[in-house]
Amino acid sequence: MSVARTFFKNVVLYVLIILALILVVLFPRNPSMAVSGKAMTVEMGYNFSWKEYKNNIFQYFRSVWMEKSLGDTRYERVTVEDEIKRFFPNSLKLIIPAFFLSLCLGIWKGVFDYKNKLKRRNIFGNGLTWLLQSIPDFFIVVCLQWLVIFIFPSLRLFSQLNWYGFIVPALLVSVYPMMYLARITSAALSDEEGQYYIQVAKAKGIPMKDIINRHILRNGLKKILPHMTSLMVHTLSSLLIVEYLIGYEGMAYRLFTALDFNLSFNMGSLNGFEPGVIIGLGLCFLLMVIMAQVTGFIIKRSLRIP
Amino acid sequence: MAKLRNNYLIFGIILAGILAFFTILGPFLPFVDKELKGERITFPEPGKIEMAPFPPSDRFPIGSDRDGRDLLSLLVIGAKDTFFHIFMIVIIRYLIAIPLGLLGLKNKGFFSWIIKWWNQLFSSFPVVFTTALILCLPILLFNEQRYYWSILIIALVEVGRVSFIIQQQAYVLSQKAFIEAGITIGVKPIRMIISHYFPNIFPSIVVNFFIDAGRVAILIGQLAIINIFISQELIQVNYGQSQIFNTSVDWAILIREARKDVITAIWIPFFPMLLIVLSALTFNTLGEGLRKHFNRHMQ
Repeated sequence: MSVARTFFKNVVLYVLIILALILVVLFPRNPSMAVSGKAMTVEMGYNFSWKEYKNNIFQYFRSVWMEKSLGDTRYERVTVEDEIKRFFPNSLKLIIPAFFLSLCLGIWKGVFDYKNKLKRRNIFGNGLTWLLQSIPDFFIVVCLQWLVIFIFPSLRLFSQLNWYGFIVPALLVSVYPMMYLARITSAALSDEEGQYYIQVAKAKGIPMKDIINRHILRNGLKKILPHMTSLMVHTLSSLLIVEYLIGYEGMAYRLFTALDFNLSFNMGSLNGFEPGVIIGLGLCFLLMVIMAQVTGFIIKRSLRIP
Repeated sequence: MAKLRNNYLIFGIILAGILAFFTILGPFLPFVDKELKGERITFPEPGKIEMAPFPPSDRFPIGSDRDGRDLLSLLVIGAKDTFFHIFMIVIIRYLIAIPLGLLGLKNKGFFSWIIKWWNQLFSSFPVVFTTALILCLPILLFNEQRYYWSILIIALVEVGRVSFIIQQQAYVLSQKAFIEAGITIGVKPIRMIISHYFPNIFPSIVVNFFIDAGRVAILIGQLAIINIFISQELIQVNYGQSQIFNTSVDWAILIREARKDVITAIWIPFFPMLLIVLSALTFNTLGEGLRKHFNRHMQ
C-alpha cells in the first residue's frame, strides 16, 4: 500500500474516532426531576430526547466555530486551551520518558526472554515477564506509596516540586507497556525460528548473539512496529491510574475532575461534567497515539525495514 | 529430548484449584462469617473504645473493613461475584467475537470490514477511559438494568480486538492446502467452519480466553479505583440527594477508597488487590500452560 493511501486512511480513521468521542461526550446528561406527593419527594429519572442531543451537538459546534475555542471549564474565564496548556506538559514529562523507556527496555527484555527460552534463567526471563504482566499498576502504586509514607518518609519521590519528581511516576507508568512489548518481541522472534536465513548464518559460523541482534531482531521488527500504537495506549492507560492514585497534576488527573464522578450527588450536581475539557484531553490522547504511530514509521524508514 | 514438564500448566491448575475451592466451598468453612455481621465500635475493656476499621489481629486475621466486618470472610464470599463478573464479560465477548471472526475469514467483505473498524475505533483510547466514559452516561446511571448493560458494554468494547485476532488466524488457515482440498471435494461452508477451521483455531481461542480473563480482572480493579462499579445502584439518601451504592460484595468495592486508605487502613485495599493479582496470575499462567500444552508436538 502506498504511503499516501495509508495516510489518507488514517486521517479518515482519526476523524471518525474524534466524531465518536464528541458524540459520546455530548450525549444529554441532565437528569429529569419530578416532584410527587405532599412532601414534595424528589424523584430523579432520565428521559432521553433526540431534540436535546441534536441541540447539544449543534450548540457545541457553533460555539467552537464562533469563539475558536474548545469550550469553557468549571472556572470562569479559563478556557479548555488554558487548562491543557497547564496540565499537558506535566503529563508529557511522564509519557515521553515512559514510552521510550518501555520501547527500548521492552524490546531488550523480549530478546533476553527469547535467548533464555530453554535455559534455567527462564525464570527471570519469561517468568518475570508473566509475573509483572499480572500485577496491575494500581497494586504497585499503592504498595510503593505505603512504603514511601511509612518506611522511608524522608524520600520525596512523589513530590512534583522537585526536578526529579517525574522519575518514579514515569517508571511506574512504563512497567506494564514494557512487559507487553517484551511478550510481543519474544513471540515475533520465535516466529522467525527455522527460517533458512538463520540456518545459513549459523552455517557460516556467525555467533548466535550476532544472528539474533542483526538478523532475527531486524526481521522481527516488522511484526513489532505495528504494535506501536497499542504500546502508547497501554502507556496512557497506566498514566490514568498512576496520576489519579498519586495525585500527579497531569491531564489524566484533570480528566477525572472533568468527568466528575462522585459517589453521592445532589439534585443538579451532574452539571460538574465538563464536555469541552474531556474532548480537549481526548484530542491530546489521540495526538500521543498519532505521535507513536509516526515514531514507528520513522524507525521503519530509518532502518530500511521493508 | 528430555521429558518436557509443563510447569506453567501444573502451577496454573494448582492456583485455579485453590481459587475455585475457596470460591465454591469458602462460605462453609469454619473461619468464615457467612452473615458478614459487623460492629463499628467495640469496647475491649472498660474505658477503651475502638472504632472500625480494625487492624489485623487475632479476631480479624487480615483486619476488618469500615463497618467492622471481617475482611477475610468478605473476600471469600465476594469471590463468587467477582469471578462471575469476570467470566460473564469474557464469555459474552467470545460468544460474539468467534462467529464474527469466522465470518470475516475471507479478509474482505462486510464482516471483515466491521471487525477492522470496530477494532480500530476502540483501540485508540485506553479501555479504562472508553468504558468509564460510557458507563457513567446518565442513561445507564438511572437505568434499572444497569448491571446487565455494564457487563455487556465492557464485553463489547473489546470484541473488535478479539475477533480481529480470530479473523487473521482464520484467514491464514484459509490459504492452506487442506482447506482447498475440503472445498474441492465439496464440503459445505458451514461444515467447513465446524470441522476444518474451528478445531485449528480452538487452541488459540482457549489460550486467549484466559489471558483476556486476566485483563478483565485488572480492568475491573482499575474501574473500581476511579469509582465505577458493575453492580451499583443509585439510592436517595436525603432530600434530592442520591448516593451510589455497590449492591454486591465483590472485591472491587473494597479497593475504591485506596487513595485514602493508603494512610489510614492499608489492609482494606491491599488484600483485595493481592487477590486480583493472584487471579490475573492464575489466568495468565493457565493461558501460557495451555499454549505449551497445545503446542507440545511442535517442540
